[in-house]
Amino acid sequence: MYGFKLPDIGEGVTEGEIVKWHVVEGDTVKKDQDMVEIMTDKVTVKIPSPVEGRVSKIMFPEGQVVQVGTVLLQIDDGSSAPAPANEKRETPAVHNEPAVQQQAPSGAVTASPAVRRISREKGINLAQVKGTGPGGRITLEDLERPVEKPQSVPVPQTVRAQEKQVSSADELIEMRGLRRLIFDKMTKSKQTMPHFTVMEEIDVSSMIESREKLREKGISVSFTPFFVKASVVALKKHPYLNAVYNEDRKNYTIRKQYNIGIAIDTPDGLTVAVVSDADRKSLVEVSAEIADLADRARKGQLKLKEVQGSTFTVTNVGTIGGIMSTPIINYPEVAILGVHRIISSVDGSGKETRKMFISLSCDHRLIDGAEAARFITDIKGYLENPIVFLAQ
Amino acid sequence: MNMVQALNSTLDHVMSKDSSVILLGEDIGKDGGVFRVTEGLQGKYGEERVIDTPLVELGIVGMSVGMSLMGVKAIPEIQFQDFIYTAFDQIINQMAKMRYRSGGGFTLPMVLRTPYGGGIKGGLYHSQSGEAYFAHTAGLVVVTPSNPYDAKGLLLSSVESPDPVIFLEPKRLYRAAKVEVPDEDFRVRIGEAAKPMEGDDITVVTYGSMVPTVLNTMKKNSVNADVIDLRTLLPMDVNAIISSVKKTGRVVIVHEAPRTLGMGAEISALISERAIEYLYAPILRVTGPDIPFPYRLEDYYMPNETRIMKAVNRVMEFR
Repeated sequence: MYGFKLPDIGEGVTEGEIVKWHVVEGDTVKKDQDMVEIMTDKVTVKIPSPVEGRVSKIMFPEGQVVQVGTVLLQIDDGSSAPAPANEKRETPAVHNEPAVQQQAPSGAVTASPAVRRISREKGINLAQVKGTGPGGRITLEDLERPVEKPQSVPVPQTVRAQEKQVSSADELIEMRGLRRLIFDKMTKSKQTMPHFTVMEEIDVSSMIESREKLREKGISVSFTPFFVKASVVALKKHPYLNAVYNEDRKNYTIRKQYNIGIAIDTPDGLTVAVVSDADRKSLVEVSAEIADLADRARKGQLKLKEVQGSTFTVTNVGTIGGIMSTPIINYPEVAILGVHRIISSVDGSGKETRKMFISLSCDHRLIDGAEAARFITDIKGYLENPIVFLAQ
Repeated sequence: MNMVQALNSTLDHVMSKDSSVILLGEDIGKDGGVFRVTEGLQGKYGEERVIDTPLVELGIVGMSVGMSLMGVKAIPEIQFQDFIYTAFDQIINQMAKMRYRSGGGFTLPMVLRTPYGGGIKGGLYHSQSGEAYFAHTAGLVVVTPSNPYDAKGLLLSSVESPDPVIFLEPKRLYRAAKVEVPDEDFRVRIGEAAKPMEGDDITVVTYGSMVPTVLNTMKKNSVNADVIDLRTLLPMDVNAIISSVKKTGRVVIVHEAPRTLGMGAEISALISERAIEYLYAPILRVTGPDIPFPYRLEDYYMPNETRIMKAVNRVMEFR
């Protein structure tokens, strides 16, 4: 019997959500056949089977978040017991053995029949409960203790009652996949970071003009690269905004890399792709990279490293609508720039002006209002006179 | 009155009311039986209704079967249950099967009384607990009272039963306790367990000779136990057991008979089949060991407070 564990996909990922099983119990799998889709940090990867055999047991349902190193399914590959050497070979760098694993090596849960019944009635997944009884057995008391992971907290009876009240015409949305990640991250950001937002109005006439000139030269760029490049220049001047919060140690790291996250609207929800080392790339290069990232994000083809490690994020909702917004910081970053729709108007002299609101949300624990105001003023200056920052 | 007195007065009562009732057994007449259960009855009802038989258990049971088929209500006594095995063929193949083999044409309304169990320094041929042999046989009713009141109530029900009853009398309890037993007729229904103690923490299932031991142990150790006295071993009051187990989720079964394939095994299996989802701990049995009944080591053989509490604590502490 081969216990297939969630491998360390790399980049410090410690857990992932089972998005979709491609096998059912009883299936025969070939080596390297895709068995399961796991979503980590907004990227979904298909994980192939390292062995050939019959799927004897699937340990978790779709939608479950599992830790790296957790046995996901058991494959009857003809071996009587999981050979330690074999496991080591197939799942390198398993360094985060979760609590579930410590209870029982086979991934099986030990609990008395009554505890199993009560957990079922309460909707508790025993696999996520840490047993304190002899040999890691789950006791009745363990069921009454809240589970560490927020997504596995038993559904309170009141919520269940409310769910029952949902009529058949309504639609119940479970937090799954990308939506769950957004859900969790937004909650964490707003709950952890005291946000404040400063706004500024900018005249984008020169920016549009610059874009036109480039277009005449056969170079097509969108507006977003302008914001990215302007942000990089401003961040160099205001390093506190290019920082990352370290939750464990309650401190911040000021990053010397300028990896700019770009919020991308995909069919599954908002995702943030990263233009890394944006300070070393030209406007045109940044533009091409954003186009490529956005295209692949919508197809669900982003690689893990392309969604990790951003130091500051730009979100452009102007292409869709809305003249103003208060963006939520892309946790654990400390600031986010929101850019909006261009508003055209004609002044008293009959001259057409084109303006845009930009907004900057900051983690007020680290960033003072004055700092944020100076930063957004600089951005305004750059964008109203693009040649200045493009030269830097 | 004690259990012997209760049984004696009940037999007296049924004989006075029904002239078809006949007692037969070894030394039951002039001697009144080795435990004096039939004392005075021969003098009162004559040698034709209280018959001293030869030392032939096969004959006592065989004759009783024949009599009962012919309209006589035979209440034979086997002096010690240990001697019953020579009559086994009559019990298993005749008594138990008459109703079935006759397609319901004949019932067999006889009551086979016999003292059983240890605790009186009777030695290996006078102390056995063979209830499982009978409870394994369809067609029999097997009862065992644990106190004088139930002895009377169960005996009256048994006499009225159309089917053959094995009436097991725990001999160590014959004179162990005196309780008020009403003069008037009352019945303890066959197939109905008693709950002499109610509690929420653990279910202790027991019967016959072990009931007082269990009750004393629970009281002395302040165990909040639901104690079930089965009273009828076949047919067993399954609902009483299951409903209690669903309440407590923890079970200990206590009987004096050897462990292997004893009543405890059956009760444990029933609980597994019907209420496993309610169990917090394994079902434990406190029984006699799988050995012949030892004369010198009788005190070690019989389940006692120490052994019962050891099991209760293990079940209660199981997490």
